[in-house]
Amino acid sequence: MLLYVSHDEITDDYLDAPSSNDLNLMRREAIFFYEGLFKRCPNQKVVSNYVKAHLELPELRNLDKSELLSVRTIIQKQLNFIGIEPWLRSKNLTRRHALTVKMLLLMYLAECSGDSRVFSREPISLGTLFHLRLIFTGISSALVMVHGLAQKKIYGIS
Amino acid sequence: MEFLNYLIIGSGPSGIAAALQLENHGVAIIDVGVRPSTIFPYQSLSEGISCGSYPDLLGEHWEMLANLVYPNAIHSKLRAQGVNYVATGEHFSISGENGEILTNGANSYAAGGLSNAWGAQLFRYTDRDLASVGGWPIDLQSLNRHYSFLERHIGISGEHDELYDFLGPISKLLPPQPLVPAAKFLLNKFNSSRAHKNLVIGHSRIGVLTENYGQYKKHEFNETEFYSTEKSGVYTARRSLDEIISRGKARYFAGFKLVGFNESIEFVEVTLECLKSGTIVKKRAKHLLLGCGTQQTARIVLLSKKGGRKFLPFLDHPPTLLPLFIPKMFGSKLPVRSFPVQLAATLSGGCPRAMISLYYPGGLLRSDFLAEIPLPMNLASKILPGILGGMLVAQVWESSKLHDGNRLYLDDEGSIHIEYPHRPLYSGYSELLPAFARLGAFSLSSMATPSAPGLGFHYAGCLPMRKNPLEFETHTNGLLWDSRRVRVIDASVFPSLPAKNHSLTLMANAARIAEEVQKCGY
Repeated sequence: MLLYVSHDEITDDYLDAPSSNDLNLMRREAIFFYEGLFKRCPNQKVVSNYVKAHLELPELRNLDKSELLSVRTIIQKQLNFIGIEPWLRSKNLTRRHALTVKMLLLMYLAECSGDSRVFSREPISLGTLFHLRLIFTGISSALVMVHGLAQKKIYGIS
Repeated sequence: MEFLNYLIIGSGPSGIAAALQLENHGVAIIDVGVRPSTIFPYQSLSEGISCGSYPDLLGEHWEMLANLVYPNAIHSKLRAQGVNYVATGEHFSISGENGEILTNGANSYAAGGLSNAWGAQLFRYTDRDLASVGGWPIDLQSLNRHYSFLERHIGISGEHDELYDFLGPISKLLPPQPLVPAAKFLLNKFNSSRAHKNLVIGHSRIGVLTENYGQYKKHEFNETEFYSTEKSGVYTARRSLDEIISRGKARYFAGFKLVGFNESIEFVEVTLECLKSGTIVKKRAKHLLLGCGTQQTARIVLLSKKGGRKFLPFLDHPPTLLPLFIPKMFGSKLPVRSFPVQLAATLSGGCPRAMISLYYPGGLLRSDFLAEIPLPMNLASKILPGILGGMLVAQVWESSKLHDGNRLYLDDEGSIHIEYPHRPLYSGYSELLPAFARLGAFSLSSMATPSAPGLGFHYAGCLPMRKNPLEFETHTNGLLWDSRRVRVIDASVFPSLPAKNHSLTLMANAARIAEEVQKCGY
């Protein structure tokens, strides 16, 4: 049985020109996604630049409204956005889904923040343990994505 | 009015090659001459990443996020503030079979032209290259002396290895660049393998100094190619331009855009727009050499010759990108220094051959890859460093011949439009993939991405040279079909593109044409 979320609580303000309420929503969005991706709180620099990019990049201000509704649903329902997002990509797409865009933006901000261990460029040999990590990552990815696909279908994320 | 002997328009590779030939003989170079206003302030990309400055790494106006929403909005090498000045010339659009817009781009007004952002691969054409495409009315013998001069002038690194026959002869080679572990593995595997040598791999030849060369310092391989064009030790035409200016044996006028030309019996008069003041200036010369880049030269000729809605043929070399994974090298230590082009390859036997450039993407941000990896982003980011240790990207270049449907024209406002319905897809996977697999490098044809036309940047063919040129074609000495004093020296004269980088050949051909001008006797 599919459950459909009521979108009454999602205001039109969020989708149009940002007010201070919208800016707060963007900050919450940045924190929600960052904590999910990196399992720690983002620093103020990342959050403020996440908002700044949304205000300054025209493409980010003109994201698809139905996709933004999906993003809002994901945040409100605290869904597994990491597992959902890969299913929203398409090889031949000329435009990325709003969720992919927002997550990717945070990745760029994390990489260029100067304090990300994940994106460190220290030359370290990972050795043969890396192949084990690769297998583990493959299994984890499969589980996360199966869960994400289920939630995508249940909550009608598109 | 000032009267010059030789007037060259454009300071890209062809303009500069012609200028080197005509120094001391009353030559002037005129171009728009844009130079970078921003310099990447770090010695290497690693240093920049560790400093964590968003304006420096992502751009004052988020330039490095240009492909965030629309992944193919701009070539990744032309995003950064320190590079995007290279493509601020005449705009163009390329449409496909159904009229859909495939590419929106811009030509170059930069001092040094598109060479500021090129990959610096420099090879000669061979007789076999020309035979594979046909249509060339000149003999390679006429280019040999110019090839040799340019190779010594530039300083090219590489190796005399099994790829030598394919890459053509060369007068002087600097030591090859240091290879990343994945490239080293692949080359060693190839060299030690005695079976199935239908895939030939070797060092590429690049205009990158691996040792100090005259007054020029060697390159530091600091992975800043996607951030800056100011890379000591990497040859661009601007290096020669600055040399020519400092020698004082040619005149240089920057800040002018060619509007048109008019030829009379005694001279050619060019109309120039001063971009700073907007004023119109005229200059006269005995001979005019057009080296503005294929599209911009074609545009000027169409406008000056009242070509109206005439269609001109158009060639490009859009490569197919294919990631290669070498599992044995996963997890290996990533180098802190590298250059994008690592190796070159070709499939031997049979015709046509493709040229394969093997790249290491160390100069890109890791986030540039994440949406391409079919995994959750956080997990992809964790394994990416290990994957990069065993990853190369193959750029497959095939030959390109003139096709009736692929053509350039100007609209009523004089803007450049290109129709490119004929886009043959690379079909050699059944031979290529097993050949790489035998060396331990794996991929799938479904992972290949054909580039859109316009993203090969090897524009050519609009004014093809012929033994007996028709309207809007050129003589083998570069003269326009009906002209005595106006010559075309860039790749718009190329009648076809073999499966090989054309940069060194367009320079040698420009020098050859410049020599023809000197010998013409008037």
